[in-house]
Amino acid sequence: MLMTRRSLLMAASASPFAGLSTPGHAQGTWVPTRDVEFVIPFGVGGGADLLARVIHKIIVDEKLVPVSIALNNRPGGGGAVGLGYITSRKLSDPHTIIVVNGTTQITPILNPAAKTLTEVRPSMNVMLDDFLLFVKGDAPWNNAQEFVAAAKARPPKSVAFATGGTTDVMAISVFTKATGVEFNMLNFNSGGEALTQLLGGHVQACMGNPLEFIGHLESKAVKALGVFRDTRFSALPNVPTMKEQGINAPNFQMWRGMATPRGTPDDAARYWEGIFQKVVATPAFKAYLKENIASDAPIAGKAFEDFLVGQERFYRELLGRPAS
Amino acid sequence: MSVVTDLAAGFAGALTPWNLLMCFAGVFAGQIVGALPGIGPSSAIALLLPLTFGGDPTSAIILFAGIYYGAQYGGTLTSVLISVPGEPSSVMTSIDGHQMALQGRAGTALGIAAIGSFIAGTLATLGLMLLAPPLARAALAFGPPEYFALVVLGLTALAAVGGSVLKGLATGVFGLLVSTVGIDQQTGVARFAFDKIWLLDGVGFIVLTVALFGIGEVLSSVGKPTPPPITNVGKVLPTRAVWKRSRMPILRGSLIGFLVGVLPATGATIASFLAYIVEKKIAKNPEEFGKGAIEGVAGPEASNNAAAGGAMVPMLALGVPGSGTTAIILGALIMFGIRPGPELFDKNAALVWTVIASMYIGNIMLLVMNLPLAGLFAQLLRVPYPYLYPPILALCVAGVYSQANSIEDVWMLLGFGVVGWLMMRHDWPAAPMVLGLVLGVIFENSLRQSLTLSHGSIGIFFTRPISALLLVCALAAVLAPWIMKLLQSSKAARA
Amino acid sequence: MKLKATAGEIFLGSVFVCVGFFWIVTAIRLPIWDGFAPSSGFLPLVYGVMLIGLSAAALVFEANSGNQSAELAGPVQRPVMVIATLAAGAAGVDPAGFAVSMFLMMLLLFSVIEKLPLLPSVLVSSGFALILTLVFRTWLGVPLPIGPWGF
Repeated sequence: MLMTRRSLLMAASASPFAGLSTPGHAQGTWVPTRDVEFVIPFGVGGGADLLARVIHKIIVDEKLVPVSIALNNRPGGGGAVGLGYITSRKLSDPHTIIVVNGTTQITPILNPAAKTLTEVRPSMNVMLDDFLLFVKGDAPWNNAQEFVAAAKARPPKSVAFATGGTTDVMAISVFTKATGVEFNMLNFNSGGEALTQLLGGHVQACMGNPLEFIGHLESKAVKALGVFRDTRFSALPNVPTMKEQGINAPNFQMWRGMATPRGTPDDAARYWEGIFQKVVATPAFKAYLKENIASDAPIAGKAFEDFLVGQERFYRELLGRPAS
Repeated sequence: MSVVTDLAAGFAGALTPWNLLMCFAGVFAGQIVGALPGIGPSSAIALLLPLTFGGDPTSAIILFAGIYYGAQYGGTLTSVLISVPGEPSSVMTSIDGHQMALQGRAGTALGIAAIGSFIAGTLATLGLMLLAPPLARAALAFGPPEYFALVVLGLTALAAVGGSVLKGLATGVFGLLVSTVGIDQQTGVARFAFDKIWLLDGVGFIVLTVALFGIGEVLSSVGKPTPPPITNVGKVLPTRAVWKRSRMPILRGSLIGFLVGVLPATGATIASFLAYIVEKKIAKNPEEFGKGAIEGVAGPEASNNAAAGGAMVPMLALGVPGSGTTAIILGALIMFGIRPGPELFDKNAALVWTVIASMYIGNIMLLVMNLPLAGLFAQLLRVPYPYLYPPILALCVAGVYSQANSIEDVWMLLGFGVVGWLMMRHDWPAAPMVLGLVLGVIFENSLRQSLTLSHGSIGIFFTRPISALLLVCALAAVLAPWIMKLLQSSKAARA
Repeated sequence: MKLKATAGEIFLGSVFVCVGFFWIVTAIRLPIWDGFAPSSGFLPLVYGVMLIGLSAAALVFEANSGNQSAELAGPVQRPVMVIATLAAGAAGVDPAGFAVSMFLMMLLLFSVIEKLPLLPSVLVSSGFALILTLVFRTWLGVPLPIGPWGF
């Protein structure tokens, strides 16, 4: 009883959005008629996998879809294998959904063999991950300016960063472009390993998502010197933005969203947009965002596609691989 | 004193019927996924994670920890009985364990593995309980140069694992070479991937181990006249003689496994390799290794279990992942609204101590479960080989497919299986190749990270004390045979 | 007999040497050194050179020592047949589904290669194919391929 009332409320709260994207019909005319395959282009247990499993659980718990949904991990090559799987099998079958993120966009920029996001039809962005500059708790610098000044005073590449993935490397390259300081970069497998290196004092700084660092931030084992955002972060109001500190770094966040195969018909695309709108409006999803210290950012349909075009240009510029 | 009260509170929490059930469910599930090749504790935890949302975080972590250390027990079964390592960390067990099974001592091998695992698991939990915070801080001293030196020490084992030194080195280098396939972590560029996206992540350990050991063993057995079914499986409970030979390897394996497990970038697989090498190096009868030496089962099995306990140290004491699986458990903690960090031991003391208490209980459950199971499963060997190997091949295909849900991995399984068969046929040892693949990635990354850090000076490996000490050990390991010979000849000359 | 077994060993060694050669050729086209540290091509190049040297040395050593171990290796016919059946089984996984393909593979191995009686062969192969599907697909949620007939 409680469940049904909650899902009714949910449907009510989501309907204005659905109305926006499909004037006339609330949901479009397409509905899934057989089991839906939910492709996760990453291995079990990672950030993308957890997000997918949360979305899956919400869809199931709230009975948003009349058929059952089977999760299918297709890990490999930074999302490339999963996108390749979609391309090779499902071309236009809207009984398939896939979780995508910044990494799936970056992989083909670095490795031309990998399939790009043009293979799918972006449906909706659900969240943004922020990047913060972290140093050890007992480091002598208390803000990004002091950090940059100290780095400038030393010979080039004397300050070392540990990174946990390509997105961290890109955040450092944003920082380097804005400050003109060259840093040494040691690349590790995961944000957790990078954090361990920072705690051990082997490197001076990390550029990472709040998720892995928050426990250490709260216990003052690390401190955050700045965030790549236009405005301060509501979860961490004491961390100043880079711009506030006179460092002219652009807004740098990583997106995470949902997509369907490229050939998805319009009414099916609208159907899925409606479903994801409902998902992000649930208290369960809001709680997930809060635990992950991530930003709520529902961007649907055409707006999402335009957003991705902009991100693609930005990433290519950062990676030194402009579109040819 | 506070340890006693904390632990008593922990036991009180862990002994509630629900938590006992969770503990049992965890170790049982772990036992099963551990025995199946391809599917490991990480997949099982990810699978169960959504079911635990909204429940009690302590019960969930008890369940996940149970899956993690339970899998280390389970991996032994398939390694010993059919030479298909269920987990990468049971590769070393399959070398001597499977030989023991062929000699009619499968029960003995499985029995000592279960007892060794129990002792190691319990000692590791004790270590976790008493030493976690200082040990975790010590583990932070391991930066790239220290990992590099540790890996060099591990690589000195390449020649020692198999029979022929030259062949062992050759297959070991082949493993290192295979480790360079895929995206280069330092530059993000793909190497040796032939524009195939399924090669971007490189060749999986599971694919290589199941191919070399599982498929290779099957192909080499069908080439020989069909052996009569093995009717004797040996006593599961060790005899006095077996126990005497196994107890020191179990203790040494526990210590090595725990310490290696505590280090965040190394895990149960490397721990079991190191334990095997140590046993072989100090054994009075090294020529028995590879032909069914009980020490070659006891040491690595103790080691991989202790490593699972060790990996919990950085997770609980520092909030940093100690292995791939603990990274997932950390992710689960976050989902439950617990922010892992250095204060977990203080802030969430009840959770930590209940989980520790459950680890003692879970290890007892596993021992009680495994001793009868060992005798039962060993009966599998009575099945005539022509009925046994086709299902083994099907299991290998299912397992390897499951590891990344990829049919290309099955083709790699076939290719490396043929290589493994040829190697077995001509006495080229397979273990160094797996060791090369496991260590190759850390070796390359830590070398390049260290030199980046030192601006190109190799002095960084010798001026940092831990790194220098480990390199001296590596040098001693290489020179030991010659030094021994020199000592013996000088003794002989004096006599 | 001796010649045949040795030929197998020379073949294996040559495969290793060829792989090493390929690694060298590919590695020299990658950046070797970058600033302070080795780049993508350095270690693959080193490994390639070492693999060629060690494999060749192992072969030469083996030839001189007159090692007899290779002679015990036995005939190759049956293993090659098993490899072929396994390959066919793997090839069938995608088009025919995991369960059917593995069933046929096991059945072929039992009844054709091992010449076991048909009834137990059918029973064991179908039973084990079902068990594997149940454990991996139903319990562990692995998306093992499904054939056109829905299983």
